Amino acid sequence: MEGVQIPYWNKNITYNQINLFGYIIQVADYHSASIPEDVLPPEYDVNRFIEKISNYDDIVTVPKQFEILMDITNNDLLGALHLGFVSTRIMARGLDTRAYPNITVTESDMVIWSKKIAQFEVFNNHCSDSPGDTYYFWTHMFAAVFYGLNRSNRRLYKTAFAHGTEIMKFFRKVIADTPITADHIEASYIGRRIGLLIVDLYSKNNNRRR
Amino acid sequence: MGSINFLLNSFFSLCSYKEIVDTHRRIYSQIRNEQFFSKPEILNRENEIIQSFFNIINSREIEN
Repeated sequence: MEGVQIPYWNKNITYNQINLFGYIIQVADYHSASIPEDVLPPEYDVNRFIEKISNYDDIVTVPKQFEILMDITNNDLLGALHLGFVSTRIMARGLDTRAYPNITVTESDMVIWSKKIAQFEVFNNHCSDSPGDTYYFWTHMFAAVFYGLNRSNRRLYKTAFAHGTEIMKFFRKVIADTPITADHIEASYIGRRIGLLIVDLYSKNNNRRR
Repeated sequence: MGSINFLLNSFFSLCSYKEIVDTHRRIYSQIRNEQFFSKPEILNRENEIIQSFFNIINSREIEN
């Protein structure tokens, strides 16, 4: 798995680290640059994931989401995390319509989604929404695994995501003059922690084989 | 070149957030407040999640 560069849905293209970084830090609706092919899992798979969660009998925890994602991507670990990040961001914020113009998320859909998605623990008694927490969880886990397994510029990206929340807070408060009201710090931390543990696991396995 | 252009557009749009009309912001703020007061059961707990993820990974033939 180390050094993996190929998206699960198209074996003829390779991942580009810069493209993914650009897509992770901002939804595509806020600018007009053309969206690279390697950042967008197929719309069909995004819809399948959303439908599976929406039709699930119970509240869906992140491990259960992971099982569904692994089923959809035929056990492609990186692909599952990528699909989780993209799909849950769409449902949490109703954005990324430029990336997936055929997926419409209404306000009602967002409320229904919030009742299907399990709540994360919070370490302090502050406001957080389960859809936002969930998409931050998948975002940080995906970034930790993708950039952790790619050797080039690993330290740069690792630092960027380790301090991602503080950087975003700074930009939104000082530069954009639109302070954020929830930072999803716990979900981000847990997602990142699991991602780094996965990288460790695969690195150790690879070292044993050598 | 396309990658750099995409990254720069993403980055600079972060800096001009106040000019964006986010039509859904009211809804997710509302969801956040509702969940804060209704206190839904917490089902995503760190230790349980970590254990479950590795159980899933170990039980499957990972493709990638």
